[in-house]
Amino acid sequence: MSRARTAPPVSLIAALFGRVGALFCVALVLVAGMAFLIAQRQINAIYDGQLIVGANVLQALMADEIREQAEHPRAAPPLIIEDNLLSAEDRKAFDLYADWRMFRVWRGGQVVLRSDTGPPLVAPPDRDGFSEVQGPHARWRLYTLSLPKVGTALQVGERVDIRHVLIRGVALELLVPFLLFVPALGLLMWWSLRDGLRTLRGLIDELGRRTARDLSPLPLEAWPQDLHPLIASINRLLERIEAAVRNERAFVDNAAHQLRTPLAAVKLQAQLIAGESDPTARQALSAALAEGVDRAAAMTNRLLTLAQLDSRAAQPTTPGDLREETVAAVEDLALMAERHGVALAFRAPRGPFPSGEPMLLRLVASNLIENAIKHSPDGGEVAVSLERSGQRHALKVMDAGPGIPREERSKVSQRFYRGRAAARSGGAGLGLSIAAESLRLLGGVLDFADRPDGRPGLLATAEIPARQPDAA
Amino acid sequence: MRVLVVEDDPMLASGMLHALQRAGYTVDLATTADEALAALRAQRYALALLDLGLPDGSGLMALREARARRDNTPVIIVTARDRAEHKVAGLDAGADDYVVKPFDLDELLARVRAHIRRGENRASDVLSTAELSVDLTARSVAFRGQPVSLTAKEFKVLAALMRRIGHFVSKEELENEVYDGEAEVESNTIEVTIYGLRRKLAGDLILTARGLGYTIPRRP
Repeated sequence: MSRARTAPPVSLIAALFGRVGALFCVALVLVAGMAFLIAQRQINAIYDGQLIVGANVLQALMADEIREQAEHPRAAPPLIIEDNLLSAEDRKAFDLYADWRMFRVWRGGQVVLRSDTGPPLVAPPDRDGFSEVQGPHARWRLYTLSLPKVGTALQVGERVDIRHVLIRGVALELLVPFLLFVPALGLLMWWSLRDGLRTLRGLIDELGRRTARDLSPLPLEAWPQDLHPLIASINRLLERIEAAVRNERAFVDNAAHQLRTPLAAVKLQAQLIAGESDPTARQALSAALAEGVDRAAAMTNRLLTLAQLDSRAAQPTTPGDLREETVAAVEDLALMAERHGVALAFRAPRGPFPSGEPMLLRLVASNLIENAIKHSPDGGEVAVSLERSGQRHALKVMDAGPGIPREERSKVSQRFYRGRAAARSGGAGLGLSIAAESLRLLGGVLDFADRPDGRPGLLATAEIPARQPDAA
Repeated sequence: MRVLVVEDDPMLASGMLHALQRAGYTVDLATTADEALAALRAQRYALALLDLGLPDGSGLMALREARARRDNTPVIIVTARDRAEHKVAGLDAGADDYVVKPFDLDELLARVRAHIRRGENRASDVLSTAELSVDLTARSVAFRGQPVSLTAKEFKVLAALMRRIGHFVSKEELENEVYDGEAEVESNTIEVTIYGLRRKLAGDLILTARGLGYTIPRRP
């Protein structure tokens, strides 16, 4: 029944936790990634906005200068590097971000005013708006504001990595609660999984409380719907176990009956002998007593045989020969046939009949022949024959007894089943079941039919797989 | 007294037959439930001993069927099934007693006597009138205080008449008391037996009326 699994889960909760946890982690990473991207975009938007504001502020600060320039245009503007262009406060304000920020004022292709920072630029910007320039140490994001009327362009810039620093700061700040949050959430998940699986533990407890005697089915309505298929299959299993237990009990009852009845006869005969004074009657009773003991012993042997067959698994068998075993069985039963006034006949084609386990072959042959002898009338004949047909051998035993009614044929190989005819023969109903059980172990089948010649009697056919010569 | 034994094991059946006959009972044997039911329908038995594991079905079913048709013959189940639930089922199906194999012969015979006694509403197995005393257990007879030796047949006929003292018992009923299933009935056996009893006891002890049979009248 064991099914090969590559890796059986250690624990249902652990497996569920692993899966849900993995999904959860993926979701968390996605959310965190999205949050990071959104934060980055927001920060970019704000900083870009600040660049625009910065450019406009610069324009406002330089308004006078620019206006003056517009009123008195010069052909070649001199480099005006005047500290007073920006007030000390303005400079200072700029210097706060000195490392990060820069500005340029271009006029006619020349830088007229610049901060100390920023990438070296050789050419004035050719268009307005944002652009990025790779400097020697860092990358810069620039905003250009052109004032075509006065031939001036204002450029404000910022190092790109300041944004990275900011974003990194935000991410780090998020990471701390995130790292605390994950184990707490894991604990909560574990707990709620355990809680959710409480019903399952209830089922385990319920089954654990069961004893071998209590095999009643579990009530379906007492369990959640998801468990119904499980409950239903447990119930089916319980049903099968109960049937097996019932069978077992019936077997024990029958075995007890079959053993106690001859013992009761033995005891009765012994007590009758004790109370009998007539020597002839005593002798008859003693003979009956001995016979009773023989019968009890035979019954014990049959039960033991059945028990041995029961515990036998299909295993590699030693090779045997069906002819040898059948002939041996006929020899064993010759005396019994003589006593019943039954003639035995044997017919088989030449050559060996290689087959399975000799003991099983002998059990099949002897039980079928014994059954035939028991049910044969005085002066009847039991004909035993062997046939070969392809992969199988057939052992046929034909008697002249009353036969088995069609409706009883399926039952006669059940243990302790006795047909109406068996009642008169005093059989226990074990012989045919031993034959059937042995055949099952040999991989053969047992079949009962009327005599082919139409006369009263039974034809029992045991089909036994032939052993291939090379498989020896 | 006629007893029915329902037992399919030929050896045990023959032993029980032997033991019961030796105890003075007339015994019929049935080996299947069908035979048992047929016998119970054809005959009135003082008691039936019933095996449960019969080849054509459980003896319990036969018992239920017999009880269903108001057959109140005392029944003792004699079986190998010793579990309490089996005993309960057997007694509930209408059995009067339950004996587990292998049983003790003396105990079984005592139970048989007890149930026949109860079935016939008697307090004792010693039947007596002023002059005559018949001990069914010891199978002894005393007339006017003196022990009398009787043949088996004579005892059976006398016991049958004493068990129904004051009533006529037909010749057929007496024949049934005397003959086992297999023996051939001789037409004048009862007359010969009655003659023997009258000779050994008293000529006027047993009265006859044609068409009714024989009786031992109650004498004040």
